[in-house]
Amino acid sequence: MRYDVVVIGAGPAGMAAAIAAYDEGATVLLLERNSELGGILPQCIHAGFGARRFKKDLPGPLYAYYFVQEIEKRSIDVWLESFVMDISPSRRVTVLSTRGYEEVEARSIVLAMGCRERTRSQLNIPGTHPAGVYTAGTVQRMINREGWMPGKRFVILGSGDIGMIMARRITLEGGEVVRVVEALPYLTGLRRNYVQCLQDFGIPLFLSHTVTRIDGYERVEGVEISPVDENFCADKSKSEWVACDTLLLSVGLIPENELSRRIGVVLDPVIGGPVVDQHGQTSVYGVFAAGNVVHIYDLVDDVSQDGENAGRSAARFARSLAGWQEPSLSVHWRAPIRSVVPQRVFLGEGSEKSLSFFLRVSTPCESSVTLRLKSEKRVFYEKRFPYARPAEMIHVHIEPSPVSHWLQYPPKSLVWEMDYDA
Amino acid sequence: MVYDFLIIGSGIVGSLLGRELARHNKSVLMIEKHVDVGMGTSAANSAIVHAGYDPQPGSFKAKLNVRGNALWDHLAAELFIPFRRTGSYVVALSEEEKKTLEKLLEQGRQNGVPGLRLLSEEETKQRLPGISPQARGSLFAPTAGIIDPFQANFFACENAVVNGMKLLLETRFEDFLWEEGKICGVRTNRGDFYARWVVNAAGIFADEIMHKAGVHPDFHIVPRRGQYVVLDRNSFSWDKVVFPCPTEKGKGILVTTTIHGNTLVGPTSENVSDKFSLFTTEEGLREAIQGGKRLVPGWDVRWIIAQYAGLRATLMPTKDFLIEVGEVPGFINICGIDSPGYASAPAIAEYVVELLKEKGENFELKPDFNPIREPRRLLKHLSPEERRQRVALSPAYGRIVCRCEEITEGDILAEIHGPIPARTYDALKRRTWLGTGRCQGGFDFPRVIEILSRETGVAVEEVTKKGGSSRFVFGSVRGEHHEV
Amino acid sequence: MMHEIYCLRCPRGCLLQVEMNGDVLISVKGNSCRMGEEFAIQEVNDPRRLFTSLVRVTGGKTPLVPVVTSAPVPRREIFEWAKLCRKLVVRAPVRVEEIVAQNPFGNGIDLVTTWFVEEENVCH
Repeated sequence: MRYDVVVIGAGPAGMAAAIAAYDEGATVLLLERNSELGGILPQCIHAGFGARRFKKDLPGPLYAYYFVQEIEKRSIDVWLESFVMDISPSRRVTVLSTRGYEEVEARSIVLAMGCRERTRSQLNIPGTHPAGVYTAGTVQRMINREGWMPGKRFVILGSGDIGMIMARRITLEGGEVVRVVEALPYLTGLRRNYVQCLQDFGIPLFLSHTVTRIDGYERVEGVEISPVDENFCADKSKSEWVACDTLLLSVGLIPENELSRRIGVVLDPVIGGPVVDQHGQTSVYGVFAAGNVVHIYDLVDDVSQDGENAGRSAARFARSLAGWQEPSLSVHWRAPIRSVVPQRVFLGEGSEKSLSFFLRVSTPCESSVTLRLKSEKRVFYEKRFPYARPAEMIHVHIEPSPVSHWLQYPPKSLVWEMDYDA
Repeated sequence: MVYDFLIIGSGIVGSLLGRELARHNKSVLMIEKHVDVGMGTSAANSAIVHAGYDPQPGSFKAKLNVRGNALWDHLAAELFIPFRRTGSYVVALSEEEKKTLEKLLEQGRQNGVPGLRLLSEEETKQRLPGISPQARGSLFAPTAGIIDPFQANFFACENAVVNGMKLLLETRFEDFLWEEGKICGVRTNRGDFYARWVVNAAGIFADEIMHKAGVHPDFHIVPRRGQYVVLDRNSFSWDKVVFPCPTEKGKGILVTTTIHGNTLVGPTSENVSDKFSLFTTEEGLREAIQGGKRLVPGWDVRWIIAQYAGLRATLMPTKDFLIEVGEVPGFINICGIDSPGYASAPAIAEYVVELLKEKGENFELKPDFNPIREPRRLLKHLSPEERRQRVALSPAYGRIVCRCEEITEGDILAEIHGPIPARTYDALKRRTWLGTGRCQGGFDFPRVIEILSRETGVAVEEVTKKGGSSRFVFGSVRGEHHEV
Repeated sequence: MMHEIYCLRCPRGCLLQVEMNGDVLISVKGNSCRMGEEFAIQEVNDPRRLFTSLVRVTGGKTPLVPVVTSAPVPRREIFEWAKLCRKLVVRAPVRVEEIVAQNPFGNGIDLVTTWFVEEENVCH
């Protein structure tokens, strides 16, 4: 079997990539390890999706359904319950499924495996190892898909969006959320989720607090909650023991990178996803990446757009193959900017129209900031923003793209910087 | 019926002894209070088969460690236990500590440890890239090795079961049954069981059982907690087994590779009063991290993917193993098996059989004993052609359940329906290593709960992590209407 | 009386200071755009939210189907809608955007599915 483009993962990024690659004239295989399309969206039953793309406030499943319909309209081959075990340097994809153990040849590949949640082990919370410590996304799946109630009395660690959204779901399903605690002095999720999910239901949020111990040998029996200073040092003299049967963790997402790592894709050391250029090209020839597998987006609309971009590029790559290993520029950045995607700018064909960047800061800047992209000689972009927050990605669209200029006058360095009041 | 032997406890000691007895013309019953075998000390340790230079010459530990170490190759081969003779290094971090190395070398020679050699600072640093710059030399022990402690325990027990040993899980010892001053059986929560010999292999609780048998009332097990952290193999690769110089507190905080390629740092050594103090503490984890970094500095706490605590069953005041047959008629006492317990366990089994022979017990090899445990190879360990065949034969092997460790539904079913059926999430985890990757079970466990519920015929609400009240789910969100 | 509320109209989440005299709005401060003012008036007088939940499905490949209200509902009604969702049962197959409860509270708002559930395979 041979395809122009093989897309791995049928969440929002992968579905969009498959559609865009097909519309660009490619033969497409979409591989999904679950038994249905949509990735994580069918379990995200809350609203808040699609504002940019559909100008509507859609629940996650409805947002996914639009793409499912678009895939069904096209002759895109879809393999469900199919797990990619390996990819060879010549882009032979090995797939395990109940049908067997098969190899597929791909001219180009789009990695769209999404992300996973940070777990207790990454937090290093001392104590016992009982049942009842779950990540927010797992609880979301248990309640919204399996219909299981994973506990009665919950403490939530982390003010990420999924955790707050699950606090509301748990309350509406008759559970009790006694505390949401956040080690940082500010909310890490969106404020509107704080209002709609916590405030509306009278669920208390404790900033600058964390869980310092888990108790209970078989099932969670309680947790110790302590205030922390700016270095996350806990003040045990002010600790409080809170009885609960479930500890729910909502402490962030990280790109799924097992496969990326296995095939030798260079990863961004800060965000953990593949280093990409503006077309989604990774360091491995013919392998593209899109969506949360690259970095964690705030909005699914941006994930779909990134998928379309990578899918289109992968289709063009499959058509020409040549010309894709032209020189590329490295992009650098300075604090308080934490991450920039793409980390490289490709100076080849098809890069003239416009250029987009996604930036994230590491600390909140609540007064106005100035964001700037410059080389040693020139400023290519400069704009003031009313604020910059870690929870909200900054999307910068530069049109016309400076790439044609850089082709003629390659800059020695390309740096993003931000002026702000410390 | 009256069994020839009744073994209390299914840790590595009980399991290997059970297998040794099942090799012969003996009927054996093993009782285990937990929901699965080997859930005590055997499940939380350094997973090292020590070479044998540490114990005091002349002690039980010295004798049984060196002998046990030598037995592991054959045993691991028969049972398909993951085992690697890595060799180990004790590193001196000062000129002063080099004297300790010489002492250990001498001790090792007296104990009969083969191949011990002192390495210069240069050779140490060349062999151990990444070792502390303070390293001044080391003692190399080529016979030390690493093992998968869960699988070793489990496979030993399984092979005993396949060869006729009866295993009763969730069966708790309550008291001895006596007949004319002789122990003739035990009372449990599941009734009375009779045997000609009752074996105390109860690990951390072995002193309480020994006291009930009426021996050594002045000896006590003082649980010594060890806390560990595990580093992600994708972030840090350390292919060695390295100890600091030992102190009175023990062997110190080591940095070792595991059979699965992760790096293990620990243990601390804390005397605790409570045999249930199986939890990690902030201070303990900090001590483990600092201790590890003192020896091997180049890693980051962000690479930690797991942490755990174990309890060593240290017998006070002797600090040695205590192994006796027939001190009380009908009673075999194996008490105080702390480090080097894993290395010694095969030799303990051998030694107990020898003592029994001295007592006139007649041992004949069973002609149909099968020493080989047929491995249930995970799909991921098969060649492409074998994978194809396996999936064609059983499509469940085509469904990946644990994505990080690539464990399939077929692999899980094989354990649920194996000779010692897995009944809990942790039982599956310890048999297949599922849920131990970076997502720590986040993706797999709802699927695993479903499979366990379906295959064992219990409601989803009754599926547990490790037995008792460790259930995952408290009912359904549309409870009153839910169909089973 | 002063109310402090966060605006929900965009991700920025301005903190609005809303001054009221009984039911009458006096002033809105802290907003960055006109939407903030509109939101403040709505939020103080009649806060509304889109409500999402699950409804039980029989004979389906999955036991539940997600649902949403066809328009934002008064916030005080949320627990009524939650109660309703616990009572409803629908039969597979369920299509997307199928109405599972039509105007149950007489305010013209329906409960609509947001995903589909196929029929469970029947073995013959």
